[in-house]
Order: sequence, then structure tokens, then C-alpha cells
Amino acid sequence: MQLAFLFDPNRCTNCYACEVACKQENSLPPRADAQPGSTGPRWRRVMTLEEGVYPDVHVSYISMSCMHCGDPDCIKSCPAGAISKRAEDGIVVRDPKKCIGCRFCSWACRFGAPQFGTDGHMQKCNLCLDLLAQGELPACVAACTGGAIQFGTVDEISEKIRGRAAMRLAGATDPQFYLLQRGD
Amino acid sequence: MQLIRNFICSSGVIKVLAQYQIKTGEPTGNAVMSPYDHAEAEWPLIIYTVSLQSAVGTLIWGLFHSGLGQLPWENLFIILGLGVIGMLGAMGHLASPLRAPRAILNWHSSWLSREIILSSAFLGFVVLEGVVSLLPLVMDVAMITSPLVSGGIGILAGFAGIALLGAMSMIYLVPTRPVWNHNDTLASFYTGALQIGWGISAAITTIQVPLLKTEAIAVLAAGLILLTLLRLKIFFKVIERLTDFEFYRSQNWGWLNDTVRRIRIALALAGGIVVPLVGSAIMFMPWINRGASMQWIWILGALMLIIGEGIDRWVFFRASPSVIFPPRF
Repeated sequence: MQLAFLFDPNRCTNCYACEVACKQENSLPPRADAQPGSTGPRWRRVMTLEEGVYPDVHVSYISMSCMHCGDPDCIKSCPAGAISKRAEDGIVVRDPKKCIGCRFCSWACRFGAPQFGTDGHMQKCNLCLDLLAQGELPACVAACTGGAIQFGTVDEISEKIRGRAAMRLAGATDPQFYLLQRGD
Repeated sequence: MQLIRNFICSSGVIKVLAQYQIKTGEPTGNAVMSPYDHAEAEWPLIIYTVSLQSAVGTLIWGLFHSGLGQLPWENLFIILGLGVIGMLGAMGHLASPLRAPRAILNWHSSWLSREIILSSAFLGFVVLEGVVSLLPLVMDVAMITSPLVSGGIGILAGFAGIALLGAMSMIYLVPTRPVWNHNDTLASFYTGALQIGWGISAAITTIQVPLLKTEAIAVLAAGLILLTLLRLKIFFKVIERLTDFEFYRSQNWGWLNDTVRRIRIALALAGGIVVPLVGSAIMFMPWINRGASMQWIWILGALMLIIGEGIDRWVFFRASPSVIFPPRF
């Protein structure tokens, strides 16, 4: 089984509730003391994509986190074997006790998923493993005010997007991220 | 829709970044970037890569100068010294240096693991060579076998060093860093090592033999000048002029406007071309104390090459946008 995200940009209002919920759930600092002005580690990030030339413009928002890739670059690059992919649900997890803090994973990841706090060790989205264990949704999915972030197994997501214009993020690492087309 | 289509269809997010402006919704104001987003944060890596490159180059040319025999003590000490400095630099890069031994575990897929294994193998062989060279002094070992064995170990160290340079450069050949993901990175690590190594070996030679013959000085000078031309890609530019090959013809030379790059080029030219020329010219100046002057000039040249390579590496780290999909921290 492989868990994946489905994102519907039509529903995203750029409210950042997903980012805040992620920070709250994972006890991530809103900012690092040593770096005033920084936003601290952001396991989930809302991107703003601008398109067109004024006055014919459009702005889209895409909330992204770790893609829990099928063949993750971070696992291949990690020299310490601190990152692994769970066989049962395909979630890419890291072991903080094994991380040596070399930051090579952050060079290798195409999506900027690995984040670093003041301790210098890698941290990233784990799909809220503890919540999943209790049968709950990941914090970002539960908090999304417009229902833009959805989550499920690849089969469930395939069912949801059937008949709709959707695309799967393409890439050598097989990212598990589906995106509905705008206007659909 | 075209934007999202491109976003999806690209192999990563690099193309999107190149074609569209992506804003992150970061709060504006006096934001301070993470230390990890600054090239300065990579000082340990600069120290590690330049030191190990220099050590490998010194070993390769040391073997060459000794006819693949036993390395002189001066070479061994300098190689070990550079190796220790480099490994300390590598430890400084880690957030958890005490977990450093874990860095070798993922050798089957991580170039960083391979680099650490090869660094250890390289330095291990150098230490072993030193121990074998010492054996005749403390044990009744036939004097004839020691140089042969230590020569063999030196060759193994040379192979480990050559592989180490490859692993070191492969770390930077990642698709997320387009400015590094080029054969030039591979070439620069090897040519840098050979150039600095020759410079250090030449300095050692002038220390070992203060009154070198003119022919020997000419070989040292010519070798360093050729390697400097190779390191600065001047050879390739000449080949481009003379043939239809294209190595760097499409390269924008705007980076030459950068002061730091100019300093780097000046140091490489001074250490790699001016020093050997002056070193050779001294041979024809009988009123100068040849031995001492020669030594200091070649030592100065080697230092210039090392500092120049360090500046080049600093620019190298600074050249890559450290954040592909912003922000990290």
C-alpha cells in the first residue's frame, strides 16, 4: 500500500491553516530563536505560483510537503541510513537518532522536503504517524478549511479523481502527489 | 493551466523555478536567512575538500617523483597533516560528529558514504605506508622488502585517492543543483588536486634538494604551468579555437567581473605560472642564495594554489541556490 496526497488548487484559499496545523501537531517552532525573522522548519509549505502578464494574470496556491516518493532521492543519498520507507504504507520516515546532520538529503531532494532546526538534524513530514495510528487524518488534511488537501491510498485517490482532470506529479523519484487541474 | 502542466510534467521543480517566479508567502521584513543557506556555513566542506584534494595530489605526484617507490617522509607528513585537517573539517560539517561512523553505512547508494569510506581508506593506506617505512628501524626486516611493500601500499593509496576525488565530485552532481551538475565539477576536482599536488611536491623537492639542477627545475616549472593551464580551462579554450570542439564556448564569461573570482584567478596565475617562472629564473641569478630563495618561492606558490582553490570552492558553494523549493529554514 502507498499513501499519497491529492491537492485541489480550486479549493485552496491560501489561509496557511495547513502549515499552522503541521507546526502545532509536530511542535515545530514558529521561528528559531537563533534566527529572528526566519519561519523555522516548515514541513508543509504553501507555494504561490504566478502566471501570465498583467492584466491577464492568475495566481495559484499549492500546499506541498514531503512527497513520500516511491524511489526517494533522500534515502539514496543519506549516508547514515537514517531515512527509510515503510513497507506497509510507503511513508518515508527518518530516524532522528541515526541522523548525523550532513544535510546531503537537502541537496538531493527535488522538493525541499528535508528541513533543519537549530539542532542541525533533518526533520520532515511523516504524515502524522501518531494520528494515523489513532485512525485520524494528518493534521494538515484535518485543518484544511477548503478541503483542498486530501489524503488516502493511491487506489482511493485514483477513485476520487476518476473522470476529473488531474495529474500526478511526474519525476524520477516517483513522487506520491496528485493535483487536480484548475477549473475542474 | 499551462503553469500547472509544466509543474507536473517537469522532472522536478527546477524548470518551474526557471520559468516562473515562485513566491513563498514568507513574511517580509528583516528576515535573516539560516546559516545553512549561507556559503559561509560550508567552510568545513571547503576545508575538507581542498585538504583531501591536496593530499591526494601530493601523494600521486610523490609516487610519480619517487618512481612508484617509497614516499619520502616529507610527503607522508604533509599528506597526513592535510588528511587530518580535512577530516576535522568534515567532522565540523556534521551536526552530530559523534555519529560520524554511521556515515559509511549506506555505501551501496550514497556517494557521501563512499566518499567517507574512500577518505578513510586513503588515509589508512598512507598511515600503513608510514608504519611499513618505519619497520626496518624497529624490527629486523629485510631492508629490500620494505620499499617494495611501502611502494605497493602507496599505489593502493593512490588508487583510493583517485576514486575519492571521483566520489567527492559525484556528491555535487545532483539534479537539484544545476550549476554543479556538470562534468566541469568532476574535471575541476581532479585538475585542482593534480595542480596543488604538483605545487606541494615541487616545494617538497626543493626542500629535499636545495640545489636542484636546472633541468629538474625546468620540469617542475613546466609541469606546474601545464597543470595550471588545465585547471583554469585555458587548454580547452585553445582547443576550441583551433578545432570544432565545444567545451565552454557557450559559457558566459560575466563571472570574471566578480572581484572574488578575479582574486582566485590571480592567485592561480601567481602560484601556478609566475612562481615557476621566477623559480626557474633564479637559476640564472648567481648573486641570489638559490637554495633558500627557491624553497620559499615554491612554498609560497603552493600556499597560493591552496588558498586559490579554497576561494574557488567558496564561490562554487555560493554559486548554487541553496534553496530549490523554498524555504528550508
